[in-house]
Amino acid sequence: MIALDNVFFRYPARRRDGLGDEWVLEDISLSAMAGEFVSVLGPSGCGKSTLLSLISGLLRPSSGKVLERGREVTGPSRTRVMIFQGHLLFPWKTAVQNIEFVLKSRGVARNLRRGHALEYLRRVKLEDHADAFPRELSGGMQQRIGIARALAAEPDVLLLDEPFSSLDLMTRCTIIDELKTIAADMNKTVFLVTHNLEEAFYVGHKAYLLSGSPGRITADIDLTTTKPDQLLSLGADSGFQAFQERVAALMQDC
Amino acid sequence: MSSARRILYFLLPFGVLLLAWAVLSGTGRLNAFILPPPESVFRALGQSLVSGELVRDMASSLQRVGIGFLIALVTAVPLGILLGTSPRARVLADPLLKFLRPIPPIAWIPLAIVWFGIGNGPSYFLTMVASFFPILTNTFSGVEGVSRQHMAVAHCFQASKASILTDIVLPSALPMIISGIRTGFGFAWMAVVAAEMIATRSGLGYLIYTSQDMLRTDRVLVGMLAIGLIGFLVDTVIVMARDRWVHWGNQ
Repeated sequence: MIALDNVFFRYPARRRDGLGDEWVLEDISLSAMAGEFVSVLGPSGCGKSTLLSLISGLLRPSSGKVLERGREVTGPSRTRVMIFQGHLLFPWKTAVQNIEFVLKSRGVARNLRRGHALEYLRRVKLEDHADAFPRELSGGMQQRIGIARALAAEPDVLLLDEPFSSLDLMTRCTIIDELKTIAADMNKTVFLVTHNLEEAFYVGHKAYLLSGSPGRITADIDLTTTKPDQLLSLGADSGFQAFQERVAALMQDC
Repeated sequence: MSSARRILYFLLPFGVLLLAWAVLSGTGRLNAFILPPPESVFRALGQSLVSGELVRDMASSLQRVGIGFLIALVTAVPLGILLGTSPRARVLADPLLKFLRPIPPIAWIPLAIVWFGIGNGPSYFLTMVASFFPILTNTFSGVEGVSRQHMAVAHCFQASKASILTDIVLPSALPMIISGIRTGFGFAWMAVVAAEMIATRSGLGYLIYTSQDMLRTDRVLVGMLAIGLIGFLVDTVIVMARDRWVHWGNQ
């Protein structure tokens, strides 16, 4: 479980060039329970990615606290793992080696790594491509390996930074469904940063709307209603239409 | 490109050079001492091959280059990694390295002889000096150029320092390290020929130098051919190794 407590953030000032003086995030408070899927919505440049980096521990807040199970986050940890925008696989490693890298960090014995890594690949249905290099795989496959790699850390929290934005619609639907199942089965907390309303509504138990510069939370929307069981049939859903109208209204206010 | 055309393109420049050489020396206007005709150079080549002399000289030059180059490799790569990863080491070492780098290996010859005497010592030292800096600077920029995002991924998974080095930094820097090795090996060859002209009694540099004394321009050219050939072969091997190991290309 994750909580942010009055978090402010700006990049450390770079002496006299005037850069880095502006606040990126202002007074962010939020929380997410185990098993909860949280969508973070907002226009580009409002600090969504920065928010994820703060939760991951790659960045530290300028003031306020990030808490994991009540303990302050002071640096990166395998319990909170990021799935990066684009495909940040290591191009010099095969699919299975990319996952073995994480297992090595976890201290899994060398002779067990490949077997374990293949299990994670099986979860994203790519065990047949274990020995392919990333460049030999499609964008969607690469993204799924990115997910498998994150799962291999056995994290409690998954942080997704617009991971689907470069994928075609069909692939996106498949991967989102896979991820939804995996997260529910494994009782993980998931943060999904996106500017896609369908995605946010479809997977989220709740959504935080971030806007402005510096970014602030302008709304906290509960999404635990009954939803259609396919991302594609969302357009006609009344719940989604209401959500869409509410977000549109909120965006106009800021 | 078809393979027949590739072979043609490969041979064509050599053919043109050979033809120009044959025509130029065949006009009779140039003294055979200034430019010996191809056939006399090939005759000299055959003789020195049969006597085993050329192979001996090639072997001693290769051995000198090999040892000096290996010393440079095992010192410059770790130092390049250190400079690329530690800002403090970089600030400390950078001025000194910038000062030493422009001094040509040939300028070290007198000192090398004073320090290491006549024999192989100066050649090892000079080939080491010659190949050290290209390997160092390329390793350094390769390490410095490691993607910040890949590093963020590694930190996110709490990879150990050893794992970051072997799984991220070295593979990322490998293409640059290999191009440093190519340049360094070329420089080492230039240095060894210079060293052999002065401080040794064998090797291709010595062959060229003594042939000049004996007014045997044809043997000078034999030595040059051998150097060119070895350089070509070694570079081909390095490129083949690179294409095998660095298959992920320009991602």
